[in-house]
Amino acid sequence: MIRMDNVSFTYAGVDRPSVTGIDLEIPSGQTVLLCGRSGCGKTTVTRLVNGLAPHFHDGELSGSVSVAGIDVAATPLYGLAGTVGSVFQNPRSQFFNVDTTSELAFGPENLGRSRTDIEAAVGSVADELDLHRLLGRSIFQLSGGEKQRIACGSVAALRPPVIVLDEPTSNLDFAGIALLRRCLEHWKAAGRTVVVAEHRLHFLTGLADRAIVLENGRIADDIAGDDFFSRPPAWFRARGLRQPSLAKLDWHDSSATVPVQESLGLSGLRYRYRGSKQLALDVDGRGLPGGVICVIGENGAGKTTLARTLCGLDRRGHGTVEFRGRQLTRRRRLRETALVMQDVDRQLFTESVLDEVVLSMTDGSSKYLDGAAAGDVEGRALGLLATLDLADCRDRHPLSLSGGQKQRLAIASALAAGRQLVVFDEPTSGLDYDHMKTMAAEIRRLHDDHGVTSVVVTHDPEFIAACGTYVLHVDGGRIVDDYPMDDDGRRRLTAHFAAAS
Amino acid sequence: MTATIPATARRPGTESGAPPTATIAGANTTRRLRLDPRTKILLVVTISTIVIAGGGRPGMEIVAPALAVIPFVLLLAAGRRRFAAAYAALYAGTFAVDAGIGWLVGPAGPLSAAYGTATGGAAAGTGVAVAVLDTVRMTYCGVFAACMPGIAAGVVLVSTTTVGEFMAAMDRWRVPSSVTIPLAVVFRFLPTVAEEHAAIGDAMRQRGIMLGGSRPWKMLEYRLVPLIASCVKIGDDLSAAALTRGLGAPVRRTSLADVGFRAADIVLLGLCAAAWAAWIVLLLS
Repeated sequence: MIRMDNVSFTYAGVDRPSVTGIDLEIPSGQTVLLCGRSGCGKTTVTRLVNGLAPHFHDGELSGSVSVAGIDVAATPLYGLAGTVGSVFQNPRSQFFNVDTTSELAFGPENLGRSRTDIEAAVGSVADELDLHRLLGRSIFQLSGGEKQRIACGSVAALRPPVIVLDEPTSNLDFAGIALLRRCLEHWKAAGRTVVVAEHRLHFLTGLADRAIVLENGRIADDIAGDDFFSRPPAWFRARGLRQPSLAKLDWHDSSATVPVQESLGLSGLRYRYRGSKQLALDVDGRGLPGGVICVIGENGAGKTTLARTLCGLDRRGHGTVEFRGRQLTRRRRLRETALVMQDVDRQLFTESVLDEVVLSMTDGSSKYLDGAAAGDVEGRALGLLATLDLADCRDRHPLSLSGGQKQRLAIASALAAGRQLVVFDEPTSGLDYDHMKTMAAEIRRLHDDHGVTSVVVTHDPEFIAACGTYVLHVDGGRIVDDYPMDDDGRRRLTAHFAAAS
Repeated sequence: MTATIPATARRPGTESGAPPTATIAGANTTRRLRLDPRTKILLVVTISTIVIAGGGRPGMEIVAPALAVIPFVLLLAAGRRRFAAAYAALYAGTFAVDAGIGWLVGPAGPLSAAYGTATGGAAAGTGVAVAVLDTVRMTYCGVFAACMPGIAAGVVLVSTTTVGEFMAAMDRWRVPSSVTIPLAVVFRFLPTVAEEHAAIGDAMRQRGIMLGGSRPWKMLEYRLVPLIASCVKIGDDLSAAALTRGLGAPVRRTSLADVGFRAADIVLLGLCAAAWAAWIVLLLS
């Protein structure tokens, strides 16, 4: 169904090819997992199948790619639309319409199908993927998992024999991933050819017929699915892959970093959305130790609301936070906490990495400093950049950095401003094993070297295993469970994620 | 610019039993009255042109308020009661303020009486007061009152039209897709831009970057650079996703959207025609 003969592709403006010498034959009806480190070329392979490379992302293609007998390079994108369907990483930016029904109809409309055909297609896709409950809604009111199901539905409405998914679970919680798996199961049963490029592997257990590991743009392993999922943990680590099994998490020793004394007190934290009768957050009388506090719970459970309220970002978030014996009002929290956003681009403002850190040291009013003071500030800023491995890029534009570097720069800015309570929102979504481990080490160092208490909103059990010292389980705006990461805590955490998936 | 974006992306719930529909403004609106987007576009053009260009011509004191009532009724029909009430209050306010200031500065008013008897500084003070009041009257009662009905009609358009309906209606007018698609993308973008803008505002507050620093233009830069960067990225992703689903295929695009003129459209188009006729008569007389 998909055939690649000695394919190489180099993006325009890049010296190094992203994939080289790919020979691949995927028979009809096979479900294939593409995995490997960030930058290994798995996204490029999906783009070669759906034609975005070279038709949307310019570059130099050699070799030949054919899908269902169609030469991809010689066929415009609209000519491939009925043959290859594509689901992308970010549910926010793959919807053309703002309501779900129009989104399902969008593909058939573009190809000029008749009204009755479109209605029939929308109806049958909604039946197959169980989407009736979601029809006629604004996409802005759907959860991430629901958005991805609509994305799957809108792709399926064109009935393509081939479907490619590029990191479809990056922004999903375990419940959302389980829903996505149902779509994949349906397609597999219906005999479609499915290609999934992913970091998170666990949900494909028993589903992927075949796994292809890419390394530096080449196929390193091409093995049967059962064989792949039965490999030992070390095999995955050596290839920079996430562990597919919760039973094989790599726990760090958290006993050394758990401080005994209470550090963070939450009292009367409440949040109510405008026009809603229910409290979206209702936390009272909680004392938590410092360290790395991981906040878990499904999408919509109130994790983000808790994070925003902790940072004092929202006037609707009431209550006080006691941190190391000091009462922090909302305004105080705004000045004394830092938030590292999931989308870090939104919080980097200046033209160079050094300026970004200096901005945090000059209380943001960006006043001109006189000579001596400026030198002192710059010296401290450079010191911080060095500890976060950013000294080499001091003059680069923040937006030109890699994702991990941007995160570290946001951390550097928080440290520069002297923030001792740092809140992270999903810092490891879409990160491969190596980058996740680096991030975990960074957050632990924040505590060990700088005395920072971190609150991390996360769906990533492997990451919690690598750096968490305490777990807060949020549901319905309340803390339903909290425990330190001792042996018992590990069992409870594993049980939580096992139940959710 | 974001101040003109109506309805927040997360307006929860709807006010009656009719099924909610997501519009190009991103909000769910209950629609009891269904109009063709073309009617709504003609309304925006008619109302804003005639009310603004009509100015203070004799006869406009009847035509302009009559046209201003139309978006009010349509806002109510769309279930946007609070916005409708605010619009009505602001618009009615222009008449009250106009009349009030007119009396104050008029020949029978207290200010001209005071000006007649005052000397020196008091006379200058009174003169300044008259000038300030006249400016207020010009901007609020002149410019603002003239723009409001058109803006309200625009709000009706974006908050009750889905992207699909818009594209279908444009297609009926034979507007080429090279014009419609970018317009539809812009509509699609408004709520996203608002979301991004709010998130960037959060990040700025958190880092203590506030207005009132010594370099205010920096604030603009800090706000705009990340906004533009993320909009470019989202726009890229969006284009790629749309192209893989056949957007731009050289066939006549079909549509699931149900557009067409109904009784209510005929009535409103009739009102538009009457307004144009009245305007021409007023111009000639």
